[in-house]
Amino acid sequence: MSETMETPLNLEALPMRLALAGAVLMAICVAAGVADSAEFFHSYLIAFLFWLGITLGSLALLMVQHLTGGRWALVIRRILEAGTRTLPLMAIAALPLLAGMKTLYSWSRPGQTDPVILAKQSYLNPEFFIVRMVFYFAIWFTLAYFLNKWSRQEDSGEAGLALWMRLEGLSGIGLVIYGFTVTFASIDWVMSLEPQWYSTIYGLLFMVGQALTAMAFSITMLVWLSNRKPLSQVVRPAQFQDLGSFLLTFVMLWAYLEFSQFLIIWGGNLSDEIPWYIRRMEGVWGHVGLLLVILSFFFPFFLLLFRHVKQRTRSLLIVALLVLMMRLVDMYWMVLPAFGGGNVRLTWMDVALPFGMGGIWFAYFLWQLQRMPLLPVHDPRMEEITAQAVEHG
Amino acid sequence: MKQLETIYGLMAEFTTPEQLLEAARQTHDAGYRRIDAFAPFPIEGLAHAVGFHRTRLPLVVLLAGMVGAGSGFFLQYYAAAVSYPINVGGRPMNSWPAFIPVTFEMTILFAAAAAVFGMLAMNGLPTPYHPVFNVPRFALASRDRFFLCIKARDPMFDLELTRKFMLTLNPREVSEIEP
Repeated sequence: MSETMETPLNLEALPMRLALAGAVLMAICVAAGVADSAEFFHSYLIAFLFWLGITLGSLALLMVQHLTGGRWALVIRRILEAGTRTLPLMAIAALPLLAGMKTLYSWSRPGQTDPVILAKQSYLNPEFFIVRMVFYFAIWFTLAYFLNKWSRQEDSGEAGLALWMRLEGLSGIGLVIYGFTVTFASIDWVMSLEPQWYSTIYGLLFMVGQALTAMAFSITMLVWLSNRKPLSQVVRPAQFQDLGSFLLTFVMLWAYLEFSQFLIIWGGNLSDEIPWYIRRMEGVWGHVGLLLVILSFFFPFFLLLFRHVKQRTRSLLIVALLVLMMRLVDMYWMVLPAFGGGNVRLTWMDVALPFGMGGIWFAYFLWQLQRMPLLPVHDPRMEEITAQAVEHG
Repeated sequence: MKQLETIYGLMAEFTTPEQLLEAARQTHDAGYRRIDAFAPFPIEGLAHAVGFHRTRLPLVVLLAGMVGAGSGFFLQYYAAAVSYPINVGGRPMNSWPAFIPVTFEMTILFAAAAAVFGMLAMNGLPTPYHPVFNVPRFALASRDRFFLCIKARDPMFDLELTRKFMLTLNPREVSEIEP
């Protein structure tokens, strides 16, 4: 049994082709970016945030799994781990943001006169911004490194309960650290696009967004892998139902937080808070917001209520892909209106760049995914799953 | 019809969940429809094996939730915009975003109440007396034994034939259930 379960994935030339296609798309965008650097960096920030969302969301879900000890994530654990191992790539992908800092962030330009921004300059200044960015990635990388290292040790089959406890302990502390770092990172990279504005829910909104993205992505990957050799032997409708329920939870939590922020700011109607929503309701962005409510909340919410939708791989895949797509639309809605509300239009680069970066990210992810067996066969909880699988043939 | 008055059904006792599952499948395949299975823990596939059908409870819950949402919203709309309109900080009378939390709570309240009371109404609980407890060993159903019951109401039920059929399922024993 364990021999067939430990066979790695063989994808041959697929990662290379993806990386090539992604690189070509990126190169076209860079060439166009020479002419209009502002537009390039707007799109680049969106692409970066979307793919970092999967990377960090995988890290968070992985830690949640280690901490709660649930069986629900054993089948997607290697997908999550490969997701966290894309962090070095995302760290490199963060560098162009430094080059585009003056274009993206109005507070980083010299000669500020606004008293609000001047008061915030001890935090919002280019040097400290870079230091913090390095700090976030160092912390995330440390967490991902040890979670992967110990998981690899577990694969050798010698380590026992002690290793499990260590993974659990690190995940407990790691989740708290993740909460703080993502909150500050979201303030630095996105909220400070509009430096006069602030919201205390913002960090949580990002965390849930990342978890939602990573969950939808993991489900998509699992459906794709579920008819290949090691996973086809253990994956059953019940596991898809569990993951679908988890997706439903995140969809609801995301909607709840989005609405909480909206209700508080709408109710307060204060001049330093409400412009954020006014910019996001002007022109085309009002329609995009409505689209988000319908396609990112109502559709997945009602569909995922049905057991049949969650148990059938095809319907679950459609919902997961819808959620993934709407995560990108949500990024447009969060980021783009910051540069001028209703006057900002969606450009071809806003679509091309996320896909270009995605090609490279996905190729790197697949390369990482192939480096370890697709199932954590030596995890103590794995026995139950394989036993059930044998029983059901 | 005479059997109806003297007996509730036949009960077979099994020692493992696999036996019960297999027995339930065979019983259903043999054409029996008024059957019931008892186990100390949920067994995957058992509900399907005894031919458990879907109930209308989800529909009741959905309707109750919609009534809750409608009445919750209407209560606030009527109070704030029709019956006693007050201008609060220049906001519209029909301040729908502010009405959402209460509307949501009312949806949950109505749906949850409908789920609980609808469940009780449809499954007949609480039932102070049930014939299956007349089988002396039935108390083990909450510990480590597994039971399958074919009710006398089943059109195919015949005391002797059904007993013979049940004995082919390899039970530990088959006992009659007094009404």
